[in-house]
Amino acid sequence: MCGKPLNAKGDCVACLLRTGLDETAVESKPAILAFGDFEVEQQPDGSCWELGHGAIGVTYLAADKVLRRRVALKVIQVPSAARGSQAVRDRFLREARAAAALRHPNVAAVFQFGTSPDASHCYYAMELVEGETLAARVRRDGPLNAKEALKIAIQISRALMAAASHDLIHRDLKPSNIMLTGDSDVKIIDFGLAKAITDAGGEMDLTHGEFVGTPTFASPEQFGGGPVDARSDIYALGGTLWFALTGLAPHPGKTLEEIRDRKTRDGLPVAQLIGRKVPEPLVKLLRSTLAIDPGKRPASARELMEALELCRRSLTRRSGVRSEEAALRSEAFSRALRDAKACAGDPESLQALFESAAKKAAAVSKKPFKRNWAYLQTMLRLIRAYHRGEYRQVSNDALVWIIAALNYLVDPFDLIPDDTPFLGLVDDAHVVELVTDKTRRTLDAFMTWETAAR
Amino acid sequence: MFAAGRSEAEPEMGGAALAELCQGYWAPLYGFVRSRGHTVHDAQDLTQSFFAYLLEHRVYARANRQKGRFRSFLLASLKNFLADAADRERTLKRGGAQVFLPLHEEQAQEAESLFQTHSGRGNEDWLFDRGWAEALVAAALERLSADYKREAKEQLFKELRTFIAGGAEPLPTYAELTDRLGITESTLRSHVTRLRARYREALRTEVRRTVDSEQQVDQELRELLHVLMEM
Repeated sequence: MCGKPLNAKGDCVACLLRTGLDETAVESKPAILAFGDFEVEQQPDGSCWELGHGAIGVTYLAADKVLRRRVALKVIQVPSAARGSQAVRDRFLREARAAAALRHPNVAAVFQFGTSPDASHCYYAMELVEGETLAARVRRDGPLNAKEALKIAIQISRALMAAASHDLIHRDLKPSNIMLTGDSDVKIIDFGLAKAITDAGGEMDLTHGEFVGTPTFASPEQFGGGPVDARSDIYALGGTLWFALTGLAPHPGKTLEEIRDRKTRDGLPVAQLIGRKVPEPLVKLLRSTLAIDPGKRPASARELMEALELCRRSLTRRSGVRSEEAALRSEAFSRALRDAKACAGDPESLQALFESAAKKAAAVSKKPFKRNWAYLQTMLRLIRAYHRGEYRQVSNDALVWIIAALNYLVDPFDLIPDDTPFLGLVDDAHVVELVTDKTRRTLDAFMTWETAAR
Repeated sequence: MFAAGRSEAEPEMGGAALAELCQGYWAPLYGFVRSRGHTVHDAQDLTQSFFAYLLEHRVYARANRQKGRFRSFLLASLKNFLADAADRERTLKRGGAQVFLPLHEEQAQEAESLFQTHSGRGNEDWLFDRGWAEALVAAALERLSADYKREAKEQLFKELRTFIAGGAEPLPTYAELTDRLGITESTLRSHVTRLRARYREALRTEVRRTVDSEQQVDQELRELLHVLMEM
């Protein structure tokens, strides 16, 4: 380094001594890493706070300096060869813009995106989702039961439905891109950004060619480099559901070629599902979802969602009579529904109920309602849009359900008599199921309208 | 005086600290004895005996706080020890049965190799100081390496060590390292910055063990650097 002879270990003793006197080396706190409005947060030891790490990008915990909120910031290092490329930059921005337009309770929202001034990095800020990935959950607790796995798959399929209305596909749907918050509520991360990430990160392994995604969960057509559509995500959802049920990928392998060959040549190892006592209707659905030919898979996310719902209902029917506690909670919800129905024919009462529901929902803190927060927010937005006359494509019946559900979810204790012995034990998972069952189509339609309007 | 023999009331602690320091700085003392013309084996015995003498007579505890640096104290003590032939003979005779510090073959070989590399380039004091500087940075690197290992960042330390220790090879580019370590350039920069800062602190901690004040840490480092620049 300084030209002085080195010691037997090849170290420069003079340089090593000089560092001890180097005042600039005292700055042990590294400079804050910042991208646009976002500053990467630091661990107590001064290192950058990494939330995750992929082949091309790193996800940091970061602070939005303007809006003063925490976000997940994905930073992709652009290879030096591509840094001057306006095309790479434009492509990234175009795809990130499309992804940012998607808003859905089961998708981690993309808030902002951009490139660093020297074009060395592309980044986007996502909603910070507190929880764990489906991959981590299965690693920790083992495979999920069919009911739990279906609950997750249904939420993913709803997100895919919303994405379909934007002609957006994920391309890299897999257990490690599914965040689970609270009681298995789903948030899909990196939606619509897999290709943007790959494009910006450039230098894929040559053997990967144009491949975008993760081989284990990718559809067979993704290996060909040809056009892919929403049915690739449906395949990936099938693989993810398979993993959730068995803890295994249907076609594992060590290399891209091995995985591709297995997917196109080998049959599905259905014995894994049978060994885990996965119900027959679900096995059948997985077979079609994981069909090699995209034409043999469910044609759309909606079709898949409906098939998944059927499977779930068949499970519920088999599980028998509801517990006394659940019935009681149903009764409370029935009361909310009766109230809402009573107002339905009277515009003034309905108006009063709107306002009361909206006021309650706006007043509650997010924390105690974390699990239902996304539903609440969407319901509230729908009611407001309806109230402002911007959105009218909702039937009276659906509206009544939404008002009742909002009232119930915001304040169930209002509706449960004080002498109820279970008051302190209320777990409204069953009501949420009931509500979402009835209101989901309405909410999905509203979100589609909302996204288009935006 | 220095950390090695801080308190007479705690002779055992002082002795243990001294023993540890002696292990670390065995090579420069051995080199000095060798430069006086003693054979390899005699120099090994004399160096061992010198440490036994230090501990036995608690010389470190008698040292005056104001006298300052351990390096100067140790060298002066060694010179006195070697000058006193009768004392040396007596100690050698007894020392045959009393080895207070284990002498490792590898340690002895490294010390001899260090002596062979530098003998003839300067006087015996220069040789001692040069050896001392090497022992000092080696101890700091060792301390740092152990810290990284404890944090399960051994590989990171190995890859980035060259940014503080230099070497004959040109420094790797950040791009090469980001590929190898699978981290971003910004993360790499922050790792290198931290490594430099942590090494600086490890080195100064090591020096602090042998001097009285923070001011003397700088003085000691400057003096040793000056010795190296004289080459």
